[in-house]
Amino acid sequence: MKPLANHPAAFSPATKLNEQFSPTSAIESDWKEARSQLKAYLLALHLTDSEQQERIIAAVIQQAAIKFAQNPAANPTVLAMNEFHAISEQWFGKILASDGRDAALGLLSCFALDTTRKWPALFLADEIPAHFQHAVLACEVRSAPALKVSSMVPLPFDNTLQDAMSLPTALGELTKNLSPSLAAKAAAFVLSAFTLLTGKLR
Amino acid sequence: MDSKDFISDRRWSFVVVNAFLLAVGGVLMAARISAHGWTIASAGLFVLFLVLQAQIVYGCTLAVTGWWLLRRGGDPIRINQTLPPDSPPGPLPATAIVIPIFNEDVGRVFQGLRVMYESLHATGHGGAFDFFILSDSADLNVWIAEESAWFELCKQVQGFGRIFYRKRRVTLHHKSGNVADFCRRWGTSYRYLIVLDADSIMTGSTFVRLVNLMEKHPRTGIIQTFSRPVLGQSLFQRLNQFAAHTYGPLFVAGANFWQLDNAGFYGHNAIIRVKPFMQFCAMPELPPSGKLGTRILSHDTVEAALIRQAGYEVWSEYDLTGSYEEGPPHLPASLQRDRRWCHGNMQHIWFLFARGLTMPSRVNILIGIMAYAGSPLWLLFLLFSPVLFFGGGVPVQNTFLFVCAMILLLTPKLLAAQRLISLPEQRRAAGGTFKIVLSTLAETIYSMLLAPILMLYYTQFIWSSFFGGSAGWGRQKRTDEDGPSWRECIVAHAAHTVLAVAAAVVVGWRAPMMLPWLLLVLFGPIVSIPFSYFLASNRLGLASRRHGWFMIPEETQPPWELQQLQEPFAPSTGARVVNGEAGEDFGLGQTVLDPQLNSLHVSLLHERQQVSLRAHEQLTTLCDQLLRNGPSALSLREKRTLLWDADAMLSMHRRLWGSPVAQWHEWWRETFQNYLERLPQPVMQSRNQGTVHSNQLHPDQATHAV
Repeated sequence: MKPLANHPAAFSPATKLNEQFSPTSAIESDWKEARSQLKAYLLALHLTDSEQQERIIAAVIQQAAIKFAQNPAANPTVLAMNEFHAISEQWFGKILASDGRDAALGLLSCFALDTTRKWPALFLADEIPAHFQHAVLACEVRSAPALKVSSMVPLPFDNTLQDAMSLPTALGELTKNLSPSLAAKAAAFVLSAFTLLTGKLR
Repeated sequence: MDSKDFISDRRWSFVVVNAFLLAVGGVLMAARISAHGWTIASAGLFVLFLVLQAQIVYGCTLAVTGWWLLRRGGDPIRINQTLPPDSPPGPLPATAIVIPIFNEDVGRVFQGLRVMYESLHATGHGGAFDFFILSDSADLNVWIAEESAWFELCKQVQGFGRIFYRKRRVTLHHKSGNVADFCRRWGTSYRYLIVLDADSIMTGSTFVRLVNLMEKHPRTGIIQTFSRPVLGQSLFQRLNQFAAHTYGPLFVAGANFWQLDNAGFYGHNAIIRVKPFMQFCAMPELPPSGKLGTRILSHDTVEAALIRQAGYEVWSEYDLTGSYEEGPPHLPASLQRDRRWCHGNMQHIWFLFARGLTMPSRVNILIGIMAYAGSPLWLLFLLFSPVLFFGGGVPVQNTFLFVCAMILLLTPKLLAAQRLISLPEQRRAAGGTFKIVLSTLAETIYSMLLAPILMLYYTQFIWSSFFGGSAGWGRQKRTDEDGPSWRECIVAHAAHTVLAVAAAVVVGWRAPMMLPWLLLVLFGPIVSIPFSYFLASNRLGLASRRHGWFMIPEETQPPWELQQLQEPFAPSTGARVVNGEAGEDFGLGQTVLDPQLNSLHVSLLHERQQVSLRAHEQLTTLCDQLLRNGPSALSLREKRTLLWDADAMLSMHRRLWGSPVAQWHEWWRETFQNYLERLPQPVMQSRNQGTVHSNQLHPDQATHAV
């Protein structure tokens, strides 16, 4: 893909565009559909400012018309949307050049900043203010912090039941922590209470 | 904390009191049987009686101990006591707050997260905490809704770089595996981990306090808070939350008396020291044992036992407020959760005999097992009694025994009500003395009806744990505005109703003397269908609230966090999937169509390192099928495969938008039309408004935290 600056008709706010530009080389309804599709896409990008929409649509359609002249069999909608994606990828490439992020991440940062709502004139503009670029670069949408991989390995399951299935072993393990003297005291207490009560009842 | 001897003395004194009370009951029962002569059957009955009596005695002793301690101003040995309430926290170490989720109500999860995030940042210590949503959601709509809600929330609270979202591709070992996966990836970046459930809420000050307590006690591995159920709507929820608020404090205070540094862990609303947790608490595979399975379903009790075994303390921080959860909306939903817990607790039998565990840990495990295993024993006991009677054996009905059992069962409730009435502020919050007495009485009748229903269900669950297949890991139902239908209630309870009616008829015919005693048990299952239906009613729940029944302080004076939680989670802009909207493939369709969702989804997926030619061809074929024939042409697995592939999602987005609408499959045309209708309308703006100069874009305004 050619860089935006070398594009045969790279648009910029300075470029005088006929906003009512409408190619006549294809069926009019096809171009109408292309415009309509582009407009829907811009709305999906939250660009609701109709003036800015027209600015971008006109520029994209103009590029698509050039492509159409080279390949009259092509569908204007396909050409227009391809042109739009090419232009936006180059635009994000310019903003994120130092960052290594791709267009999807750049677009996401723009959504996070609400760029198309708050600063519609800057969206896909040729001149990118430094503050704006800084804001997009700073707004990196990360779903997770940097990985710090380590291990968490289960210790071997050391189980008396598994080893021997022997009740004495298992019970021995169960009662290992009992203090013999305290256990004896408690047993004696319970036993005497039991004997006493039994005697009384009888 | 205190010396080892002191702790040991406390525990032994508790054991002795329990053993004494058990011995008294045992003697009474033995005397009764001796009067008629011992047989094998009566000896069996006696053993069953002792086991069951031990459970009741333990519950009563806990409550009495707790009541006594709380009356004296609380246990002097409790971890919260070691730090003055107003002690200023020093610099706090990095702490991760993780919320594992599985097909949850997305709006509720993210509204809860927003509330906790804002509450925490209001304390001024928010900088030390990172939030992680750890998703295992299998439902594709829910997955996309979660991503969308995460992005929206981060935008709204400027939480990028503080609130993270992780979706696991392989959902190994459910919740414990999810937390372990987090630990392996980011665990070493944090000193502490606070684990929450999807329906948990904690206040900012509670988060800070927990970290402070951990900092003060470097040998403490886990601090478990007492999470109070709140925001109940149905009668079932309101009864349960009243019980938890009224009786709960007594039981947890009593448990702390003997558990001390070896308390239980419930898997959520708790803080964990990450390093020892990672070192000692990875869940082992259980030995193969038939239907029980080898993967541990209930990991929390085991984790507490393992970390204690490693020498770290586990404390229950029961008197700290600001820790909440929501209960299941009705009985069938509660039983669904119980089924999983029951299976998990039965697996713990292995750990009863694991080498090296401390005795209190084993007791905790045993109590967990008996919470369910007691049910079949009760059933056996009830079956034994008439059988003995029919066979000319010993009739077990004994007024004195019955009175003793009732005293043991009702004492905790009476003491709890007395305590509530004696505290002026809480009494007012609960609606006054009269309402507390009435609510306690009503709750007692409710528990008496519920207990035998649970007994029958738990017996079934235990049977299926050992002989009848896996409990599975379904979505936990946390809200249900409509409640179950009559049909669902009939399906859930009809068998028990028939069984109970048959038992009543047989006993009435063969041993009418026993019928009044048994009716106490049989009445619950007999009326279980309408009982379950009306318990689920939100209308009755709200009516009871209007009339001041079953009130809890969080209803009369709700804290800011709970007030905010009841607001809906509303995306400010952009996101179009918030709550797993209707339509089987809604999430997939929106992710392909919507540029924001598409770029979000693609950015969150990891880039594929290498894809074989064959896999690439398969993905291309799937993309073609989806676009040409609509989602119904693909299986769930194929749709999931596509959603997991960033390149495929991006290329479908471009292809769909980059072709005339008429070429699309009908499903896409319809979805696109619906999508367009939801888009904002274009607006005319003046040229001046549309132009922004660089100096108008202040970095603070535009830059999110990174």
